[in-house]
Parts: sequence; C-alpha cells; structure tokens
Amino acid sequence: MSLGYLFPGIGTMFDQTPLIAISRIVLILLGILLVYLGKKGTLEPLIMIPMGFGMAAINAGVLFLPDNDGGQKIGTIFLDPLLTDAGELVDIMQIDWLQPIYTLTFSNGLIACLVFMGIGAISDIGNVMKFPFTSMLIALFAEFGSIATFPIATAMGLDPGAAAAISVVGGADGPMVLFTSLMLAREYFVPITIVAYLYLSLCYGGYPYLCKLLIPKELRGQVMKTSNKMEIKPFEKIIFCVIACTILCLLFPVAAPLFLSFFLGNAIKESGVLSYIKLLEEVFLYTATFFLGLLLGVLCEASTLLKPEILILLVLGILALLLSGIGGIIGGYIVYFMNRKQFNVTIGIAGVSCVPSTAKVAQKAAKAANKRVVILHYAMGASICGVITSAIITGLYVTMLK
Amino acid sequence: MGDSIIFALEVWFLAFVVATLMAVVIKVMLIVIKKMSKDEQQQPPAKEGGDAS
Repeated sequence: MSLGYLFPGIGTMFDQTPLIAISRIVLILLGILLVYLGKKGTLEPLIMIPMGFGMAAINAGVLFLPDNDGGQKIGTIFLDPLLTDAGELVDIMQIDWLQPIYTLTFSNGLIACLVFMGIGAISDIGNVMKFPFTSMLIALFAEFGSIATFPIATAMGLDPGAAAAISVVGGADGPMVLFTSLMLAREYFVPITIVAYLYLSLCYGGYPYLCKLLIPKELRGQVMKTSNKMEIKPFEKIIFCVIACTILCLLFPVAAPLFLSFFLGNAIKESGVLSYIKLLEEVFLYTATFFLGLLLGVLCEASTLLKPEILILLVLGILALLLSGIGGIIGGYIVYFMNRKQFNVTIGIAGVSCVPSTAKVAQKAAKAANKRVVILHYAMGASICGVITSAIITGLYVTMLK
Repeated sequence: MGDSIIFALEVWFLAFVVATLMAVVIKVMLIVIKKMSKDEQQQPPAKEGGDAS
C-alpha cells in the first residue's frame, strides 16, 4: 500500500491539479492566520477562530471516497454545499457530520434569524427613538456601498441578482447578505457568503483607519452636548418594536423573517423576561455565531472556491464596504453641519450597521482622539438604523428583482 | 450600465422614502405615547366609595 493511501490528506494532493493542491496549502495557512488574528483581536474573534479552524481542517482533511459508479472520488466528510437532490441529501446527512446543520439552518437562513434575535436582544433602540431622523439619515448615507456597487457589478458582467447580492455586502449585515444571495443568486451563495463574512471582520480592523484618514482629530474628539434628555420607557420601546415590525413586514414580506427576529429579540429584552433574554443572548446568539463561523470556514474548500468569479466578488465586496464607510462619514459630516457643528462626525461610521462592531469602532476612534468623549449610545442608534435600512434595501432588491 | 444606475438610484430613493416614513412613525408614536401617559398621570384618583363614619 502506498503512503498516499495510508495518509489520504497528503495523498490526494498528488491526485489533484497542482493549482488545487497549492490552494489547499495556502488556505490551510490562511486558516491558521485567521485563528491567530482572531485571538490577537485584529479580526472579530467570535467568527474568526471557528472559521480559521474550519478552513484549515477542511483543506487538510481531504480523502478518497467511493462514488456511485464504484470508482473513487476526492472529497471530505464535512459537508457538500452543492447538493440539491432530496434523496442524496438524506443519504449524505448520515455521513457528513456538518451537513444537517448546513442544510437545516444555514442554507434556509434560520441561522441568520437566530443571530438577528440575539442582536435584537443586545440592542437598545432608545436612541433610535430619541433621534429617529438623524439616525436614519446617517444610516441611509451609509448604504452608499449597497447602491453604488450594483451598477459596477453589472458592468463587470454579473447578472442583476448576483450584483444585488454582492452589493448588499455594503450594508455590512451578514444575515442580509445570506438572505439576498439565497433569494437572488443561489449559485453564488457560498462564495458571496464567505466574502461577506470575511470582510465584515475586516470592518473591525479597517474602519478605524478610514475614520483617521477622513476625519480630523479635533472632530473625532468632539464632546457632544445631549440635547434630548427624554427618557424612553421599556413599554414604549415594546410598542415601537411591534408597530415597526408590522409596518416593515407589510412593506417587505420577503425580509419579514429578519424583521420579526430582530424586533422580537428587542421586545424580549425590554420585557425583562430574564429566562428568554438569557436564551437569546447566551444560547441563540453564541451558538448561531459559532456554527456560522465554523460552517464558513468549512465552506472555504479549495475546489469550491477556485472559480473565476470569486475574484470579481472579492473586489466588489471590499469596494461595497469601503464605499459604505465613506458614505457613512459623509452622512456624519452632513449631520454635523445641520446641527451647527454640535455633532461628532465619527458616529457616521456606525451607520454601516454591523451591530455592535461599527458602534464600538466609532467609540474607539473617538476615544483615541479625546479620552473624555462618549458617543457609544448615539453610535448604537445609528448602527441599529443601519440594520433597518439594510433590511429595507434587501427587501427592495429582492422584491424588485425576484 | 445606465439602466443599472437608474435602478440603483430608484432603490435608494424608495429606501429614503421608507426610512423617512419610519422616522415619522417613530416620532408620532412617541408623542402619542408620551401624551397618553401624561394624561393618565394627571387624572384625579378615583373616589373611594363608602365612608364608614
């Protein structure tokens, strides 16, 4: 027996094309790097640590499997994302250990809804209610990437569905990207989702530099005077949640599962039912995020990723996020001038949704310029409005293109 | 390219309308709720019936 059959992880490398074999090695190294950067805090650890592990393991754990014709094929026993036949799916679910989670939670968007319930449970919508116009205006500007990337993507040869799906990366909301690509571009579902989540983690590392580049230090460190001291009671927040959810579901039924998940999570937080709050915050959010990271890593198999369109998606994804960041900061400047220079422009970056990462980025960037400045609650308001505007744009794209 | 730019602008305009509508709904709703709770506070307490003396 040859060594290649004894250690199929290595043996398969000699059976595959050199390009795939080299890509497998690169992706293994990239997986290890992601775990390191996640641990260091440069990238979002909650996603990056399981994702890096998954990426390294899937590209190492390739083996020879029997195929239907009695021959051999090269594959893994993790999952097969490209299966659609019901019979084959049932068979493979008994072999590939992550297939049940992928089929029953990932590819139908359930995992995105669970993440959204958890995000709802950690978000405070009080500031959205105090400053609805300001927060919405910033969030609308921060959707610049979701809008401007669409014509660029179609000019680069993508069909409208795929162009919309990659443009939604600009909204910096993973669940929205998952949902749009499921609805409009199923064939690009795997690469678009991977690109989106990879870049969303980059937001955490890259946006502070964008703030430094586009906002002078004195504006970043500006202390804001609170003009609205109105107290919003939990009961009022619950009423807002149920009315906003109903209106948005009425307007965009295609995004109704996401609206319901977010506002339900938020209403539960405000209701004070501790056992439910714990369930959403500690179980749903972390379990869903963990499996999301792991599945994303496992989907980064060299043979799945090595398609020519992936390069276009990589370029468009980062462009969408960059444009949204710039748009958010422009929105911040507009509100700054509208409020007679009594506004911290850095809050603009928080309009790029990605709750609560961008709000934390805004606070961090402002604090680096002035230790006394606290803008986190304003930033959370803009960030939550970012979720709402992302959902609106997702709903519009899906409704108008489906 | 021209068509897709117009389409994208259309999406942004509709998003702008819906987001503004949401902001108006939030503002109006907040005013109504605040007014209702204020009225409730200002109402005199209901008279207790039956004075034993």
